[in-house]
Amino acid sequence: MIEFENVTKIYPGSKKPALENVNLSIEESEFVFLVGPSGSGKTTFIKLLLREILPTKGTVRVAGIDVTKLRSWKVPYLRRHIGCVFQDFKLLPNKTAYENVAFALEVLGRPKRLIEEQVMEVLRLVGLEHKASNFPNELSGGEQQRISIARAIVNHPPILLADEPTGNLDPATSAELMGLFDRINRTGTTVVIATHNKELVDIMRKRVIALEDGKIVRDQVRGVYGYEI
Amino acid sequence: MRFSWFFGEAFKSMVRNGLMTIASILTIGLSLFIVGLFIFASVTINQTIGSFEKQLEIEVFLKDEASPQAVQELQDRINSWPEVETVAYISKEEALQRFKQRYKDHPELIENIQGNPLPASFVIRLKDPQKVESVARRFNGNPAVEDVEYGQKYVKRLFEALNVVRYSGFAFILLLAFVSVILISITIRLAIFARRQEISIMRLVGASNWFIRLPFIIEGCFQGLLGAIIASSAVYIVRVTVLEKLRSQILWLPLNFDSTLFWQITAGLCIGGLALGALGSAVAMRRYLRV
Repeated sequence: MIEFENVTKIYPGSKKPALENVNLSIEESEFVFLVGPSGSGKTTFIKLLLREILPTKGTVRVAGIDVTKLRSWKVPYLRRHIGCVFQDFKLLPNKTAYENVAFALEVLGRPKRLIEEQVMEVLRLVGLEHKASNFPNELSGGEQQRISIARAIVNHPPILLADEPTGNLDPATSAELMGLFDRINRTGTTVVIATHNKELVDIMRKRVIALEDGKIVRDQVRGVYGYEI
Repeated sequence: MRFSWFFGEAFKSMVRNGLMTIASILTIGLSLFIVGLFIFASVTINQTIGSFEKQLEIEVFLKDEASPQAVQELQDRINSWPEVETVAYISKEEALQRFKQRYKDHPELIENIQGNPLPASFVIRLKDPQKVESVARRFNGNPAVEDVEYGQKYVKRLFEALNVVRYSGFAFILLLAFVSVILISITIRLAIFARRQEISIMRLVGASNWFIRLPFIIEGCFQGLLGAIIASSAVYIVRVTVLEKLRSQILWLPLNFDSTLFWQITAGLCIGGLALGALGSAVAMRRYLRV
Protein backbone atom coordinates (compact mmCIF):
# COMPACT_ATOMS: atom_id res chain seq x y z
CA MET A 1 0.00 0.00 0.00
CA ILE A 2 2.89 2.36 0.87
CA GLU A 3 6.43 1.87 -0.43
CA PHE A 4 9.58 3.91 0.11
CA GLU A 5 12.59 3.03 -2.02
CA ASN A 6 15.94 4.66 -1.15
CA VAL A 7 14.16 7.86 -0.26
CA THR A 8 16.29 10.84 0.71
CA LYS A 9 14.92 14.30 1.34
CA ILE A 10 17.16 17.32 1.78
CA TYR A 11 15.33 20.62 2.25
CA PRO A 12 16.75 23.50 0.27
CA GLY A 13 19.17 25.51 2.37
CA SER A 14 19.97 22.69 4.76
CA LYS A 15 22.89 20.29 4.54
CA LYS A 16 21.60 17.52 6.80
CA PRO A 17 18.98 15.31 5.15
CA ALA A 18 15.55 15.20 6.84
CA LEU A 19 15.21 11.62 5.63
CA GLU A 20 18.18 9.53 4.52
CA ASN A 21 17.98 6.44 2.36
CA VAL A 22 14.70 5.19 3.79
CA ASN A 23 13.37 1.82 2.58
CA LEU A 24 10.12 0.44 3.90
CA SER A 25 6.90 -1.15 2.87
CA ILE A 26 3.51 -0.99 4.59
CA GLU A 27 0.95 -3.57 3.52
CA GLU A 28 -2.78 -3.21 3.06
CA SER A 29 -4.82 -2.93 6.29
CA GLU A 30 -1.72 -2.62 8.49
CA PHE A 31 -1.73 -0.38 11.57
CA VAL A 32 1.59 1.44 11.93
CA PHE A 33 2.99 3.87 14.47
CA LEU A 34 5.72 6.20 13.33
CA VAL A 35 7.68 7.32 16.39
CA GLY A 36 10.74 9.39 17.09
CA PRO A 37 11.82 12.64 18.68
CA SER A 38 11.06 16.02 17.14
CA GLY A 39 13.07 16.61 13.98
CA SER A 40 13.50 12.90 13.32
CA GLY A 41 11.65 13.10 10.01
CA LYS A 42 8.10 11.98 10.88
CA THR A 43 6.41 15.00 9.36
CA THR A 44 8.65 14.83 6.28
CA PHE A 45 7.52 11.22 5.89
CA ILE A 46 3.84 12.24 5.98
CA LYS A 47 4.38 15.17 3.63
CA LEU A 48 6.05 12.89 1.11
CA LEU A 49 3.06 10.55 1.20
CA LEU A 50 0.70 13.46 0.51
CA ARG A 51 3.05 14.86 -2.12
CA GLU A 52 3.18 18.15 -0.33
CA ILE A 53 6.89 17.82 -1.07
CA LEU A 54 8.96 15.72 -3.47
CA PRO A 55 11.93 13.53 -2.41
CA THR A 56 15.43 14.60 -3.40
CA LYS A 57 16.20 10.98 -4.33
CA GLY A 58 14.27 7.73 -4.47
CA THR A 59 10.70 6.64 -5.17
CA VAL A 60 7.51 6.88 -3.09
CA ARG A 61 4.57 4.71 -4.07
CA VAL A 62 1.14 5.16 -2.50
CA ALA A 63 -1.83 2.95 -3.40
CA GLY A 64 -0.02 1.87 -6.55
CA ILE A 65 0.72 5.46 -7.67
CA ASP A 66 4.31 6.61 -8.13
CA VAL A 67 4.01 9.88 -6.27
CA THR A 68 7.30 11.24 -7.57
CA LYS A 69 6.10 11.05 -11.17
CA LEU A 70 2.65 12.46 -10.50
CA ARG A 71 1.69 15.60 -12.40
CA SER A 72 0.82 18.43 -10.06
CA TRP A 73 -2.76 18.79 -11.32
CA LYS A 74 -3.34 15.12 -10.49
CA VAL A 75 -2.30 15.54 -6.85
CA PRO A 76 -5.91 16.10 -5.68
CA TYR A 77 -6.79 12.66 -7.08
CA LEU A 78 -3.98 11.07 -5.05
CA ARG A 79 -5.25 12.78 -1.93
CA ARG A 80 -8.69 11.33 -2.39
CA HIS A 81 -7.07 7.95 -1.65
CA ILE A 82 -5.61 9.21 1.60
CA GLY A 83 -7.62 10.39 4.58
CA CYS A 84 -5.67 12.90 6.68
CA VAL A 85 -5.82 13.86 10.33
CA PHE A 86 -3.61 16.58 11.81
CA GLN A 87 -2.58 17.80 15.22
CA ASP A 88 -4.33 21.14 14.60
CA PHE A 89 -7.45 19.46 13.10
CA LYS A 90 -7.43 21.69 9.98
CA LEU A 91 -11.19 22.10 9.87
CA LEU A 92 -12.67 24.84 7.68
CA PRO A 93 -13.63 27.53 10.20
CA ASN A 94 -16.59 28.86 8.23
CA LYS A 95 -18.25 25.51 7.70
CA THR A 96 -20.31 23.52 10.16
CA ALA A 97 -19.20 20.08 11.33
CA TYR A 98 -21.59 18.54 8.79
CA GLU A 99 -20.31 20.73 5.94
CA ASN A 100 -16.69 19.99 6.82
CA VAL A 101 -17.28 16.27 6.50
CA ALA A 102 -19.50 16.69 3.45
CA PHE A 103 -16.79 18.71 1.69
CA ALA A 104 -14.66 15.57 1.18
CA LEU A 105 -17.56 14.05 -0.75
CA GLU A 106 -18.54 17.19 -2.63
CA VAL A 107 -15.00 17.23 -3.98
CA LEU A 108 -15.82 13.89 -5.59
CA GLY A 109 -19.04 15.25 -7.09
CA ARG A 110 -21.31 12.83 -5.22
CA PRO A 111 -25.06 13.48 -5.37
CA LYS A 112 -26.57 15.39 -2.48
CA ARG A 113 -28.73 12.57 -1.13
CA LEU A 114 -25.80 10.16 -0.97
CA ILE A 115 -23.65 12.79 0.74
CA GLU A 116 -26.29 13.33 3.40
CA GLU A 117 -26.55 9.61 4.08
CA GLN A 118 -22.82 8.97 4.29
CA VAL A 119 -22.03 12.05 6.36
CA MET A 120 -24.66 11.24 8.97
CA GLU A 121 -23.44 7.66 9.08
CA VAL A 122 -19.85 8.66 9.73
CA LEU A 123 -20.89 11.31 12.25
CA ARG A 124 -22.73 8.55 14.12
CA LEU A 125 -19.57 6.45 13.98
CA VAL A 126 -17.56 9.18 15.72
CA GLY A 127 -20.48 9.89 18.03
CA LEU A 128 -21.13 13.49 17.01
CA GLU A 129 -24.34 13.42 14.99
CA HIS A 130 -25.89 15.83 17.51
CA LYS A 131 -23.17 18.41 16.76
CA ALA A 132 -23.65 18.36 13.00
CA SER A 133 -24.67 21.99 12.72
CA ASN A 134 -22.05 23.39 15.10
CA PHE A 135 -19.10 25.37 13.83
CA PRO A 136 -15.57 24.19 14.76
CA ASN A 137 -15.07 26.96 17.32
CA GLU A 138 -18.14 25.69 19.16
CA LEU A 139 -16.60 22.23 19.60
CA SER A 140 -14.02 20.94 22.08
CA GLY A 141 -10.60 19.81 20.86
CA GLY A 142 -11.55 16.15 21.04
CA GLU A 143 -14.78 16.79 19.17
CA GLN A 144 -12.96 18.75 16.49
CA GLN A 145 -10.50 15.91 16.05
CA ARG A 146 -13.35 13.42 15.75
CA ILE A 147 -14.91 15.60 13.06
CA SER A 148 -11.61 15.69 11.22
CA ILE A 149 -11.39 11.89 11.47
CA ALA A 150 -14.94 11.66 10.15
CA ARG A 151 -13.92 13.84 7.20
CA ALA A 152 -10.84 11.70 6.59
CA ILE A 153 -12.76 8.44 6.34
CA VAL A 154 -16.11 9.48 4.88
CA ASN A 155 -15.11 8.56 1.33
CA HIS A 156 -13.62 5.22 2.49
CA PRO A 157 -10.01 5.87 1.47
CA PRO A 158 -7.65 2.88 1.51
CA ILE A 159 -5.18 4.82 3.69
CA LEU A 160 -5.66 6.94 6.81
CA LEU A 161 -2.73 9.17 7.78
CA ALA A 162 -2.53 10.95 11.11
CA ASP A 163 0.17 13.43 12.12
CA GLU A 164 0.25 13.79 15.93
CA PRO A 165 -3.53 13.39 16.15
CA THR A 166 -3.51 13.43 19.95
CA GLY A 167 -0.91 16.19 20.32
CA ASN A 168 -3.43 18.73 21.60
CA LEU A 169 -5.72 16.41 23.51
CA ASP A 170 -5.94 15.04 27.07
CA PRO A 171 -5.12 11.35 27.79
CA ALA A 172 -8.72 10.14 28.09
CA THR A 173 -9.74 11.72 24.81
CA SER A 174 -6.58 10.42 23.19
CA ALA A 175 -7.35 6.86 24.25
CA GLU A 176 -10.86 7.23 22.89
CA LEU A 177 -9.48 8.37 19.53
CA MET A 178 -7.11 5.40 19.39
CA GLY A 179 -10.11 3.13 19.82
CA LEU A 180 -11.68 4.89 16.87
CA PHE A 181 -8.54 4.45 14.74
CA ASP A 182 -8.51 0.75 15.66
CA ARG A 183 -12.12 0.33 14.54
CA ILE A 184 -11.37 2.08 11.26
CA ASN A 185 -8.37 -0.19 10.77
CA ARG A 186 -10.56 -3.27 11.26
CA THR A 187 -12.64 -2.27 8.23
CA GLY A 188 -9.53 -2.83 6.11
CA THR A 189 -8.12 0.69 6.07
CA THR A 190 -4.35 1.04 6.30
CA VAL A 191 -3.63 3.36 9.25
CA VAL A 192 -0.36 5.26 9.72
CA ILE A 193 -0.01 7.40 12.85
CA ALA A 194 2.97 9.63 13.59
CA THR A 195 3.03 10.26 17.33
CA HIS A 196 4.87 11.22 20.48
CA ASN A 197 2.33 9.54 22.71
CA LYS A 198 4.23 6.78 24.52
CA GLU A 199 1.37 5.29 26.56
CA LEU A 200 -0.88 4.84 23.55
CA VAL A 201 1.80 3.18 21.46
CA ASP A 202 2.61 0.87 24.33
CA ILE A 203 -1.03 -0.09 24.93
CA MET A 204 -1.90 -0.69 21.28
CA ARG A 205 1.01 -3.10 20.55
CA LYS A 206 1.02 -2.47 16.81
CA ARG A 207 3.86 -2.24 14.30
CA VAL A 208 6.25 0.53 15.34
CA ILE A 209 8.68 2.24 12.99
CA ALA A 210 11.17 4.42 14.85
CA LEU A 211 12.95 7.28 13.12
CA GLU A 212 16.04 9.07 14.35
CA ASP A 213 17.92 11.75 12.46
CA GLY A 214 16.12 10.79 9.28
CA LYS A 215 16.96 7.08 9.47
CA ILE A 216 14.86 4.07 10.45
CA VAL A 217 16.46 2.72 13.59
CA ARG A 218 13.83 0.15 14.50
CA ASP A 219 10.89 -1.62 12.86
CA GLN A 220 9.00 -4.01 15.18
CA VAL A 221 5.86 -5.94 14.40
CA ARG A 222 4.32 -5.62 17.88
CA GLY A 223 6.44 -2.84 19.25
CA VAL A 224 6.51 -0.30 22.02
CA TYR A 225 7.45 3.39 21.97
CA GLY A 226 10.92 2.61 23.29
CA TYR A 227 12.08 6.09 24.22
CA GLU A 228 12.14 7.75 27.56
CA ILE A 229 10.30 11.04 27.44
CA MET B 1 -26.85 21.40 -10.48
CA ARG B 2 -23.11 21.45 -9.78
CA PHE B 3 -23.02 25.08 -10.79
CA SER B 4 -25.75 26.00 -8.35
CA TRP B 5 -23.70 24.30 -5.64
CA PHE B 6 -20.75 26.59 -6.41
CA PHE B 7 -23.03 29.61 -6.21
CA GLY B 8 -24.39 28.36 -2.91
CA GLU B 9 -20.87 27.91 -1.56
CA ALA B 10 -19.89 31.42 -2.65
CA PHE B 11 -22.98 32.95 -1.12
CA LYS B 12 -22.64 31.08 2.18
CA SER B 13 -19.02 32.06 2.50
CA MET B 14 -19.84 35.72 1.86
CA VAL B 15 -22.44 35.72 4.60
CA ARG B 16 -20.18 33.89 7.05
CA ASN B 17 -17.22 36.15 6.29
CA GLY B 18 -19.63 39.06 6.69
CA LEU B 19 -17.25 41.75 7.88
CA MET B 20 -14.60 40.95 5.30
CA THR B 21 -17.23 40.88 2.56
CA ILE B 22 -18.60 44.28 3.57
CA ALA B 23 -15.12 45.76 3.74
CA SER B 24 -14.29 44.49 0.25
CA ILE B 25 -17.56 45.70 -1.23
CA LEU B 26 -17.13 49.15 0.31
CA THR B 27 -13.55 49.49 -0.90
CA ILE B 28 -14.54 48.47 -4.41
CA GLY B 29 -17.62 50.72 -4.26
CA LEU B 30 -15.69 53.80 -3.10
CA SER B 31 -12.88 53.36 -5.62
CA LEU B 32 -15.30 52.88 -8.49
CA PHE B 33 -17.42 55.79 -7.27
CA ILE B 34 -14.51 58.21 -7.48
CA VAL B 35 -13.58 56.98 -10.94
CA GLY B 36 -17.20 57.10 -12.10
CA LEU B 37 -17.76 60.56 -10.68
CA PHE B 38 -14.71 61.97 -12.44
CA ILE B 39 -15.61 60.33 -15.71
CA PHE B 40 -19.05 61.90 -15.39
CA ALA B 41 -17.64 65.31 -14.51
CA SER B 42 -15.03 65.25 -17.21
CA VAL B 43 -17.43 64.17 -19.96
CA THR B 44 -19.88 66.86 -18.86
CA ILE B 45 -17.15 69.50 -18.92
CA ASN B 46 -16.04 68.32 -22.35
CA GLN B 47 -19.58 68.56 -23.67
CA THR B 48 -19.86 72.05 -22.24
CA ILE B 49 -16.59 73.06 -23.85
CA GLY B 50 -17.80 71.51 -27.08
CA SER B 51 -20.98 73.57 -27.03
CA PHE B 52 -18.92 76.72 -26.45
CA GLU B 53 -16.77 75.87 -29.39
CA LYS B 54 -19.76 75.19 -31.57
CA GLN B 55 -20.72 78.84 -31.18
CA LEU B 56 -17.54 79.89 -32.89
CA GLU B 57 -18.27 81.29 -36.33
CA ILE B 58 -16.32 82.67 -39.23
CA GLU B 59 -17.83 85.85 -40.63
CA VAL B 60 -16.76 86.65 -44.17
CA PHE B 61 -17.60 90.25 -45.10
CA LEU B 62 -18.12 90.85 -48.77
CA LYS B 63 -17.21 93.86 -50.82
CA ASP B 64 -20.20 95.94 -51.91
CA GLU B 65 -18.98 95.95 -55.46
CA ALA B 66 -18.69 92.14 -55.69
CA SER B 67 -20.92 90.81 -58.45
CA PRO B 68 -23.77 88.43 -57.55
CA GLN B 69 -22.12 85.72 -59.65
CA ALA B 70 -18.88 86.07 -57.71
CA VAL B 71 -20.84 85.85 -54.45
CA GLN B 72 -22.73 82.80 -55.65
CA GLU B 73 -19.50 81.16 -56.79
CA LEU B 74 -17.92 81.80 -53.42
CA GLN B 75 -20.90 80.30 -51.59
CA ASP B 76 -20.73 77.17 -53.74
CA ARG B 77 -17.06 76.85 -53.04
CA ILE B 78 -17.56 77.18 -49.27
CA ASN B 79 -20.31 74.59 -49.43
CA SER B 80 -18.00 72.14 -51.15
CA TRP B 81 -15.45 72.17 -48.27
CA PRO B 82 -15.81 69.07 -46.10
CA GLU B 83 -15.08 70.97 -42.85
CA VAL B 84 -18.14 73.17 -43.23
CA GLU B 85 -21.28 72.41 -41.32
CA THR B 86 -23.50 75.36 -42.33
CA VAL B 87 -23.19 78.51 -44.40
CA ALA B 88 -25.65 81.36 -44.09
CA TYR B 89 -25.75 84.33 -46.44
CA ILE B 90 -26.64 87.61 -44.81
CA SER B 91 -27.49 90.38 -47.27
CA LYS B 92 -26.86 94.07 -46.63
CA GLU B 93 -30.54 94.56 -45.75
CA GLU B 94 -30.58 91.68 -43.30
CA ALA B 95 -27.41 92.99 -41.70
CA LEU B 96 -29.08 96.38 -41.22
CA GLN B 97 -32.21 94.77 -39.77
CA ARG B 98 -30.09 92.85 -37.30
CA PHE B 99 -28.17 95.95 -36.37
CA LYS B 100 -31.39 97.84 -35.69
CA GLN B 101 -32.78 94.97 -33.73
CA ARG B 102 -29.67 94.71 -31.59
CA TYR B 103 -29.49 98.42 -30.76
CA LYS B 104 -33.18 99.22 -30.46
CA ASP B 105 -32.52 100.53 -26.97
CA HIS B 106 -30.14 103.12 -28.37
CA PRO B 107 -32.18 105.03 -30.98
CA GLU B 108 -29.47 107.69 -31.28
CA LEU B 109 -27.17 105.09 -32.90
CA ILE B 110 -29.78 104.06 -35.42
CA GLU B 111 -30.82 107.61 -36.31
CA ASN B 112 -27.26 108.49 -37.24
CA ILE B 113 -27.03 105.81 -39.88
CA GLN B 114 -27.19 107.15 -43.38
CA GLY B 115 -28.00 104.72 -46.14
CA ASN B 116 -26.67 101.20 -45.43
CA PRO B 117 -23.00 101.11 -44.51
CA LEU B 118 -23.11 97.45 -43.46
CA PRO B 119 -21.60 94.80 -45.78
CA ALA B 120 -23.19 91.52 -46.81
CA SER B 121 -21.55 88.48 -45.28
CA PHE B 122 -21.33 84.73 -44.99
CA VAL B 123 -21.60 83.16 -41.53
CA ILE B 124 -19.86 79.80 -41.49
CA ARG B 125 -19.99 77.13 -38.80
CA LEU B 126 -17.53 74.25 -38.89
CA LYS B 127 -17.93 70.63 -37.91
CA ASP B 128 -14.65 70.86 -36.01
CA PRO B 129 -14.31 74.38 -34.60
CA GLN B 130 -10.58 73.83 -33.99
CA LYS B 131 -10.04 74.20 -37.78
CA VAL B 132 -11.36 77.77 -37.77
CA GLU B 133 -8.02 79.36 -38.45
CA SER B 134 -7.02 77.25 -41.44
CA VAL B 135 -10.43 77.68 -43.05
CA ALA B 136 -10.43 81.43 -42.50
CA ARG B 137 -7.03 81.73 -44.15
CA ARG B 138 -8.45 80.46 -47.46
CA PHE B 139 -10.26 83.79 -47.96
CA ASN B 140 -6.98 85.71 -48.07
CA GLY B 141 -6.69 87.61 -51.34
CA ASN B 142 -10.16 86.73 -52.58
CA PRO B 143 -11.33 89.71 -54.65
CA ALA B 144 -14.93 89.50 -53.41
CA VAL B 145 -13.92 89.49 -49.74
CA GLU B 146 -13.44 92.65 -47.75
CA ASP B 147 -12.52 91.13 -44.38
CA VAL B 148 -12.69 87.91 -42.32
CA GLU B 149 -13.57 87.89 -38.66
CA TYR B 150 -13.31 84.85 -36.34
CA GLY B 151 -11.90 86.18 -33.11
CA GLN B 152 -8.30 85.95 -34.39
CA LYS B 153 -6.95 87.52 -31.23
CA TYR B 154 -8.26 85.04 -28.67
CA VAL B 155 -9.27 81.90 -30.53
CA LYS B 156 -5.84 80.28 -30.50
CA ARG B 157 -5.34 80.73 -26.78
CA LEU B 158 -8.89 79.65 -26.06
CA PHE B 159 -8.31 76.38 -27.86
CA GLU B 160 -5.03 75.87 -26.07
CA ALA B 161 -6.69 76.36 -22.71
CA LEU B 162 -9.62 74.12 -23.58
CA ASN B 163 -7.31 71.37 -24.78
CA VAL B 164 -5.35 71.54 -21.53
CA VAL B 165 -8.62 71.06 -19.61
CA ARG B 166 -9.58 68.18 -21.87
CA TYR B 167 -6.35 66.24 -21.80
CA SER B 168 -5.57 66.82 -18.15
CA GLY B 169 -9.07 65.57 -17.31
CA PHE B 170 -8.40 62.46 -19.34
CA ALA B 171 -4.99 61.93 -17.73
CA PHE B 172 -6.50 62.41 -14.28
CA ILE B 173 -9.13 59.77 -14.96
CA LEU B 174 -6.47 57.33 -16.14
CA LEU B 175 -4.51 57.98 -12.95
CA LEU B 176 -7.60 57.48 -10.78
CA ALA B 177 -8.52 54.29 -12.60
CA PHE B 178 -4.99 53.00 -12.09
CA VAL B 179 -5.07 53.83 -8.38
CA SER B 180 -8.43 52.18 -7.89
CA VAL B 181 -7.36 49.02 -9.72
CA ILE B 182 -4.38 48.79 -7.35
CA LEU B 183 -6.56 49.49 -4.32
CA ILE B 184 -9.15 46.90 -5.28
CA SER B 185 -6.60 44.22 -6.06
CA ILE B 186 -4.84 44.81 -2.74
CA THR B 187 -8.16 44.47 -0.90
CA ILE B 188 -8.95 41.21 -2.65
CA ARG B 189 -5.41 39.98 -2.06
CA LEU B 190 -5.75 40.67 1.67
CA ALA B 191 -9.13 38.96 1.84
CA ILE B 192 -7.71 35.85 0.19
CA PHE B 193 -4.54 36.00 2.26
CA ALA B 194 -6.77 35.83 5.35
CA ARG B 195 -8.23 32.62 3.98
CA ARG B 196 -5.06 30.93 2.71
CA GLN B 197 -5.37 28.31 5.45
CA GLU B 198 -8.80 27.43 4.14
CA ILE B 199 -7.40 26.99 0.64
CA SER B 200 -4.61 24.70 1.84
CA ILE B 201 -7.09 22.59 3.82
CA MET B 202 -9.29 22.20 0.76
CA ARG B 203 -6.26 21.03 -1.17
CA LEU B 204 -5.42 18.47 1.50
CA VAL B 205 -8.92 17.05 1.35
CA GLY B 206 -8.42 16.45 -2.35
CA ALA B 207 -10.23 19.37 -3.94
CA SER B 208 -9.00 20.15 -7.44
CA ASN B 209 -7.79 23.67 -8.10
CA TRP B 210 -10.88 24.66 -10.06
CA PHE B 211 -13.12 23.26 -7.38
CA ILE B 212 -11.47 25.59 -4.88
CA ARG B 213 -11.17 28.52 -7.25
CA LEU B 214 -14.68 28.73 -8.61
CA PRO B 215 -16.53 29.79 -5.43
CA PHE B 216 -13.83 32.39 -4.73
CA ILE B 217 -14.15 33.79 -8.24
CA ILE B 218 -17.93 33.89 -8.01
CA GLU B 219 -17.54 35.70 -4.71
CA GLY B 220 -15.16 38.18 -6.34
CA CYS B 221 -17.59 38.79 -9.20
CA PHE B 222 -20.45 39.35 -6.82
CA GLN B 223 -18.50 41.73 -4.63
CA GLY B 224 -17.25 43.64 -7.67
CA LEU B 225 -20.78 43.91 -9.02
CA LEU B 226 -22.23 45.04 -5.71
CA GLY B 227 -19.43 47.61 -5.38
CA ALA B 228 -20.19 48.88 -8.88
CA ILE B 229 -23.88 49.19 -8.07
CA ILE B 230 -23.06 51.19 -4.94
CA ALA B 231 -20.71 53.39 -6.97
CA SER B 232 -23.28 54.02 -9.72
CA SER B 233 -25.98 54.83 -7.19
CA ALA B 234 -23.65 57.31 -5.52
CA VAL B 235 -22.85 58.92 -8.88
CA TYR B 236 -26.57 59.16 -9.55
CA ILE B 237 -27.22 60.80 -6.18
CA VAL B 238 -24.45 63.34 -6.79
CA ARG B 239 -25.93 64.02 -10.21
CA VAL B 240 -29.46 64.74 -9.02
CA THR B 241 -28.43 66.72 -5.96
CA VAL B 242 -25.21 68.67 -6.44
CA LEU B 243 -25.10 69.02 -10.21
CA GLU B 244 -28.78 69.84 -10.71
CA LYS B 245 -28.43 72.60 -8.16
CA LEU B 246 -25.33 73.85 -9.94
CA ARG B 247 -27.19 73.94 -13.23
CA SER B 248 -30.12 75.90 -11.82
CA GLN B 249 -27.72 78.47 -10.35
CA ILE B 250 -25.37 78.92 -13.29
CA LEU B 251 -27.82 79.48 -16.09
CA TRP B 252 -25.32 80.76 -18.62
CA LEU B 253 -23.42 77.46 -18.49
CA PRO B 254 -24.94 75.12 -21.04
CA LEU B 255 -24.53 72.11 -18.67
CA ASN B 256 -26.03 69.09 -20.22
CA PHE B 257 -26.65 65.93 -18.20
CA ASP B 258 -27.12 63.02 -20.41
CA SER B 259 -28.92 60.02 -18.98
CA THR B 260 -27.31 57.82 -21.66
CA LEU B 261 -23.97 58.95 -20.25
CA PHE B 262 -25.08 57.83 -16.78
CA TRP B 263 -26.08 54.40 -18.05
CA GLN B 264 -22.85 54.09 -19.99
CA ILE B 265 -20.88 54.84 -16.85
CA THR B 266 -22.99 52.37 -14.86
CA ALA B 267 -22.38 49.65 -17.45
CA GLY B 268 -18.68 50.48 -17.48
CA LEU B 269 -18.39 50.33 -13.71
CA CYS B 270 -20.29 47.02 -13.56
CA ILE B 271 -18.08 45.43 -16.19
CA GLY B 272 -15.00 46.85 -14.47
CA GLY B 273 -16.16 45.62 -11.06
CA LEU B 274 -16.93 42.14 -12.36
CA ALA B 275 -13.64 41.84 -14.18
CA LEU B 276 -11.59 43.18 -11.28
CA GLY B 277 -13.38 40.92 -8.80
CA ALA B 278 -12.93 37.79 -10.88
CA LEU B 279 -9.40 38.48 -12.08
CA GLY B 280 -8.27 39.82 -8.72
CA SER B 281 -9.47 36.68 -6.95
CA ALA B 282 -7.96 34.34 -9.54
CA VAL B 283 -4.60 36.10 -9.47
CA ALA B 284 -4.51 36.43 -5.68
CA MET B 285 -5.24 32.69 -5.29
CA ARG B 286 -2.52 31.57 -7.64
CA ARG B 287 0.25 31.38 -5.07
CA TYR B 288 -1.84 29.38 -2.61
CA LEU B 289 -2.85 26.84 -5.24
CA ARG B 290 0.68 25.98 -6.26
CA VAL B 291 1.67 22.43 -5.38
